[in-house]
Amino acid sequence: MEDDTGFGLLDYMRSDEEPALGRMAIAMGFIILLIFLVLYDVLYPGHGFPVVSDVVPLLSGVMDSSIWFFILGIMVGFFSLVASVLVKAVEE
Amino acid sequence: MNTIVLMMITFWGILAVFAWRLRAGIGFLGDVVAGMTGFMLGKALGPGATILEGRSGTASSAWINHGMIWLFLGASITFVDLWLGHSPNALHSLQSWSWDLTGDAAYTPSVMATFGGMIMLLIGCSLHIVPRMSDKALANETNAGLMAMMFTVGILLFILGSQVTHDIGNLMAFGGYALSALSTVAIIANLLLSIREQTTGLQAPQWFIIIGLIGYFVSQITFVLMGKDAAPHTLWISEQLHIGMFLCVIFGVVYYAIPSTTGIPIPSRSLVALTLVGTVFTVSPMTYDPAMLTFLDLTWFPLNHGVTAGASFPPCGAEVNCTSSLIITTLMALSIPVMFMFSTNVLTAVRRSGAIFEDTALTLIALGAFMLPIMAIASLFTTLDAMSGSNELAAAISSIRLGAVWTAIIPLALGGTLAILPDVSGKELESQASGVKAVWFLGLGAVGAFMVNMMSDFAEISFAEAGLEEGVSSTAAELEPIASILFYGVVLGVLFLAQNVVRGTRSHDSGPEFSILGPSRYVISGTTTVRDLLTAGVTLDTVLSTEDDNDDQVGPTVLSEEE
Repeated sequence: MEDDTGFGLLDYMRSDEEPALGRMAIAMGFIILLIFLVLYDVLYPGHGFPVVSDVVPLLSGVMDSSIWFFILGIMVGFFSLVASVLVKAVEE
Repeated sequence: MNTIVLMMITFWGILAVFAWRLRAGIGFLGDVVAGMTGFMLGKALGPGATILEGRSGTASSAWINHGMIWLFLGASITFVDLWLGHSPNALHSLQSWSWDLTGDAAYTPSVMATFGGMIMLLIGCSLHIVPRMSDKALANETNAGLMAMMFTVGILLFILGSQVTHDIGNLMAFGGYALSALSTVAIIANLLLSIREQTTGLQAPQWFIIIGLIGYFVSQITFVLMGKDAAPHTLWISEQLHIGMFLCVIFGVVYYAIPSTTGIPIPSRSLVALTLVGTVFTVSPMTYDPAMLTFLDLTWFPLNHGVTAGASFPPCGAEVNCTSSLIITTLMALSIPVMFMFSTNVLTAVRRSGAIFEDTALTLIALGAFMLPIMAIASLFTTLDAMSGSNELAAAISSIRLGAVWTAIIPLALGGTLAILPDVSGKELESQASGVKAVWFLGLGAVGAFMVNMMSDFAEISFAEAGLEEGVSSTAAELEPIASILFYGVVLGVLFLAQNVVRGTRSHDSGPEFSILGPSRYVISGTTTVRDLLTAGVTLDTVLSTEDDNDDQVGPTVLSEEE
């Protein structure tokens, strides 16, 4: 009987042979990233984040409608579909 | 004689002659035509004929896989079109790439991608069902596989062309449409060659599929035969006949899919026959939308000088006499009982299977069969309103077209495809549970978007009747974004289903349970007749067992055990 865990983001990120604590490691990674961002803001108040601060204004000029969030989801879905097709083709 | 009456008689006449010759054959000419067609499908392609390996079943799988991807893109582009309906300039930033995706620019691509994907699914099913029921292999597997690529290139070319302004874009779009149509003609030739040696009479699903595929082209030919001057009167009739023929193919696929999946025959053979006759001899009111003229302008590009301009259902007494309106109205009204016949027959079979909400394909079919008569009646109201010239429901036409396509037509086509997919490719869906979740996404998204769109439309109609134009925009502006976001559920549902299909696991390593000769085992539920068994594809070599002896191999038991 197959293990059906749905289509969660973490399921895409984990491979079939992920260690048992893999999910926890990914979660810890996100938490550490958040802590780092908060720490940066505390240490350098008023300074923008390197690289990110340069890219965001660029995007705000282009992606000025909330439809872009949905289109981003469609693009992720489409490329994951293409990736699945390619993986299956190579596998067979 | 009246133009519309003449058109309908010509349409039925050509189909009747075709059906007659299909049964009786064309005598000594048959060998010549078959030889030439076989050569055109094979050797005439030259090196192209060796591109694909041509293993049995690969062509059908290729069409279905391409169809799934186009259907996902169709849902996505439809979502964008809905969004642009209330925020026309949401994607104005693309103009920096010289791509003007504003206003209704996404409408035509959404129609082509959605219907293109659906037709690919149906052709994929046809390539499996028709040869199997004739107990023969497909005449040319390689050619059928190549045609899937050609059809995909056709859709892509059409979409690209529709985004390019000027005549070159129109020419590209028409070229893409013609390419898709040409590849469909090759598929029809392939199918006819496959059934040529069939020793038994054609079975019901075969009739549905072949008449549906041929009927699509017959309606085009009839439209051309009626001439340019009659075009404003005959264009919409031709389009409505197209929809009827799509439904005919869908009915054939579903009528085959349910018995082959569940092992339970379709309850009423008489209703199956009546559905076939009814689909051919009535005119479907579904998916009528004047906005489709922009699509038709591209598909009839070489003839567009006066052909599509001003095309409408002319109201009785204006340009068309009342006899025509009366006949078309009657034919449209008569299509409603046909939808009920199909729906009743299918829903009864699905209920008997006991696998609804457990099996993805059957749940989709049940959704489509349930919504079909509802959408047909709703479409009848809006279409007849447009024909009468009153246009009181004009604001709701687009919403009803969208509802008919995504709550009835697509679920039926997709459900039928998923039902026979294990038999086609030897692969099961990755997960039935995830598949059913995806159907919930699709169903709730489509029905929700339809209902909210209708609320918006009727608010608009009511405000317009009361002369409160100022209030219209605010009410619609609040409801339309909600409808768009709900429709995103359809995008996700189709995506998850496509993922489920692509990631499917090979479960038939020991050989498919259905051989080319029919099911190897069959479970009888209750009393049944030999006629019903034969309808379900049972052959002399099939092992019959009663429900009491049911093991894990056949029917709904397998599906329920996966939970």
